[in-house]
Amino acid sequence: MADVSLSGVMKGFGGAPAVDRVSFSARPGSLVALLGPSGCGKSTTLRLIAGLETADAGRIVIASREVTELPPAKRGVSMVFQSYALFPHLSVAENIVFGLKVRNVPGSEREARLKRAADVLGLQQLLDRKPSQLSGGQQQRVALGRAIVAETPVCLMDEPLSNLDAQLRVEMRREIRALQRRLGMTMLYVTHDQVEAMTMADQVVLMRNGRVEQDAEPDALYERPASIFAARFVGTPPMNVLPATLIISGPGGTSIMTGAPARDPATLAVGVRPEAVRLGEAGVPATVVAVEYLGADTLIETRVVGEPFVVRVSGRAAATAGETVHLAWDPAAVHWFDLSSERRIN
Amino acid sequence: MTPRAVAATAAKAVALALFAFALFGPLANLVLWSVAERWYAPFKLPVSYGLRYWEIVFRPTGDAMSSLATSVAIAGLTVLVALLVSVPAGYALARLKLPARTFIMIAFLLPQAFPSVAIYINVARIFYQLGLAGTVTGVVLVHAAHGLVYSVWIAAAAFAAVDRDLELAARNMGASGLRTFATITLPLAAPGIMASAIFVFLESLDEFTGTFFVGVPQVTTLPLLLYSASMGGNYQIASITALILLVPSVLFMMVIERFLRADVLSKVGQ
Amino acid sequence: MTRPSPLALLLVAPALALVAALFLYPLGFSLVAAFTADGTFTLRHFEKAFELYSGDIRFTVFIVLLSTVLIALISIAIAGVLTLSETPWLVAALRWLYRWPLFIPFIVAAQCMRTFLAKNGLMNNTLVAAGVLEPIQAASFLDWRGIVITFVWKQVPFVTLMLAGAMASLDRATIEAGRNLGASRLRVLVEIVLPQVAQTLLVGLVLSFVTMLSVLSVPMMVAGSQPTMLTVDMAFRINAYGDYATANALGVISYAMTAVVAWIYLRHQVRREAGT
Repeated sequence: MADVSLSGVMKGFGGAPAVDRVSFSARPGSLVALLGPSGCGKSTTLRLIAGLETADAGRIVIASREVTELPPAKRGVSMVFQSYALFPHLSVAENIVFGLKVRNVPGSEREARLKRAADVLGLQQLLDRKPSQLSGGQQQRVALGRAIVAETPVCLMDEPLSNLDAQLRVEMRREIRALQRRLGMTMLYVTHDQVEAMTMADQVVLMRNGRVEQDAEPDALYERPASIFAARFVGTPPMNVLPATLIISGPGGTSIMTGAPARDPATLAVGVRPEAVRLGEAGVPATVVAVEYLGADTLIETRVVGEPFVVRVSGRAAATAGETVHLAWDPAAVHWFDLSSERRIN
Repeated sequence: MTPRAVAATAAKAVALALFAFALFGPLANLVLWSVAERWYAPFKLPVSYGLRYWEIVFRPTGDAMSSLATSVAIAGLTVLVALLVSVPAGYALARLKLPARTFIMIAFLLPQAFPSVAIYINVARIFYQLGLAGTVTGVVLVHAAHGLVYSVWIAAAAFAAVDRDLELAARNMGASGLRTFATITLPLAAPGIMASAIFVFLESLDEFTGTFFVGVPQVTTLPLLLYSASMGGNYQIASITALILLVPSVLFMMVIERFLRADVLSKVGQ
Repeated sequence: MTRPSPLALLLVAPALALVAALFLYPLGFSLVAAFTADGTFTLRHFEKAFELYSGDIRFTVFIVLLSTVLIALISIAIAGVLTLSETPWLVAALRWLYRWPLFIPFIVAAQCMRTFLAKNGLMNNTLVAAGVLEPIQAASFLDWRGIVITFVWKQVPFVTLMLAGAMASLDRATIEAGRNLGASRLRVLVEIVLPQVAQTLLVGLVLSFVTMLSVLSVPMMVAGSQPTMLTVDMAFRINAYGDYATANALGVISYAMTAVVAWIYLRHQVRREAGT
């Protein structure tokens, strides 16, 4: 079985490196999401693995074989592109078997694999159509079909769902995950959508400015974010992160220091997820700025010593704009960060 | 680098050098002839060099200078005629409702899409009956009709690329249709129309076939001078004339992208 | 379509009149001259044209077809390198180089080639100096080869410009997908890129074909008098004999050649529209 591992991979296009000493590895048969904001280097990393770009330094190993210098065709990876990259002049069937023809797979074998892929993806009725005659979701399936008939152990996906509407995206998310499990592929999945990464992946590699910010399982990423960036990138609305001194100096502030690392509070930042905050009689005073009722829960936007601080409570909250409320939370729910390095402490 | 990579780089460099020779060799030969005072077989390079023929060509009273003047005058008049008919036509094609618009667009392409010699011999015959043969007017008309596809198509594309909302905004502020055209639409389309004017100017400057049938013997443009010098074996005069014709063409090649913006170019012929 | 505006018709009228007077009327004139003698319909002029010039008709078709094929191959090669090469310096150099002949007039190209391809021209001299050719082997290329070389030299930049533009606007991911699926660069060019730009290539080739059928200066200046292209024969019939009938018959034959390529183009267009 295949695994993919990168060590110290670098790539620059002049100026700051787009991919800067990236190392991580994917277990065989797992789905690894490369997550990050646009321009963080996640797509470039994927293209380096595919061989569409050449690494300036570092090693890429696929299935225990170093592929750093190999051309794309020899790496044993299939790829699904953001734009699907279907060949507009070829029919669905021709698109799917193109790679097999190139690799001189015998005709009978081609037919068998095509049929299998078409059955799995529900494309049986569409095989003679041209890509321009298909809906977005159907095109997405064809792109998947083209990747799975190659029967490569590793499949790379570059934001495959970003061109679909919201509802279809949820369906395809499940479908891709089920397909990946059924076929036992190792899948590397690039996305900027944290929900997609959290729901689909076995492992999330969070990237920022060309570097790996955190490499962890989804629950660990949520529960123990390695940095302020990771803490605020994952979770909606993002975690509230404030300099500790800002709260301590105010009324009711000392209570938050329970369980704080034994260091100068001036070097600490305190992070609390909106859903971990309670409204109570005592605690940190905050001014309500806006209340957004979402149905299952309510977002209350407040200011704590002038800084924005969001609270999420279930059901309808009895707060109105301009009112002063008191915020409290369980000391175990607090995340501590170093203010200057922005890394997690404890 | 591996030996294979070195070999691949060397192969690319050699292929590029051969390509460059095929492109520039003929031009280099032209330049050599223009400064060769004497050159005959079996000598591989000119026997003696000099600028004597340049002096002959640029002598104010010489054939070349009068041909150049004729050429430039004809090209200028051709641009004038072409713009006079194609600016209104381009505007109508881009902005107004026209029946059979596609056919009208194709009609302007026809003079370029037909083997032109067969047309010109008949134009010459008609012009002869009308007394236009051998006149500057006749040559200008032929050149303008030939260049019409550029001037009309590019003018139409340039007008089409002007944001319609700007015109509507001007009308909304109370400007008349004509005033909107003169103060908003025309200035914004001007770079594209300028490009079409350059196209037509060059097309006229370089035109040989039409002038050959319609203009001779009274109207001698630079291409005709080049032709007769070359056929008469005077390669120096022919080469210098060719170089004079080359300058605007090469200049245009270098600046065309500045005049024809992509948004205009993408609308040409639509 | 809504009601056409009379203003629009008025605005296009002068331009259309120019086309009618200087193209349609002479075209009618040429058809009448080719098909009639003393006011009655006849094919006599065509018989004469074929009798005198069947060799040149074949020669013209041969030259123009061969040039078109060479232009297609070279343009595809250059545009392919520009699009698919991974050697930045090669792409930059080629992009700068290939356009030079783009706006050079045919007559200047003809004069260049008249000297370059001669027995004692720069091409042979360079080959001899480089040791590729023995001086005794140096031969003049100023015949059909000269015409073909001049046409190709002049038209390749034009077709390449169109083709490279079309290739640049393709979704690059389709090229990368082809590479990812294991296709070599040549295979990507032939099976993925070319089919997507076939329309542009065809337009460029059709325009080049017609242009080459219309050029008078190149066959007159680059090649000797026999055999030669139809354009030269037409000029000769007029200038030497004032024989408009035969010249126009030859003209109609060249229209017919244009009509054939126009038909090929339209058939392709129709099939393409039926396909999508």
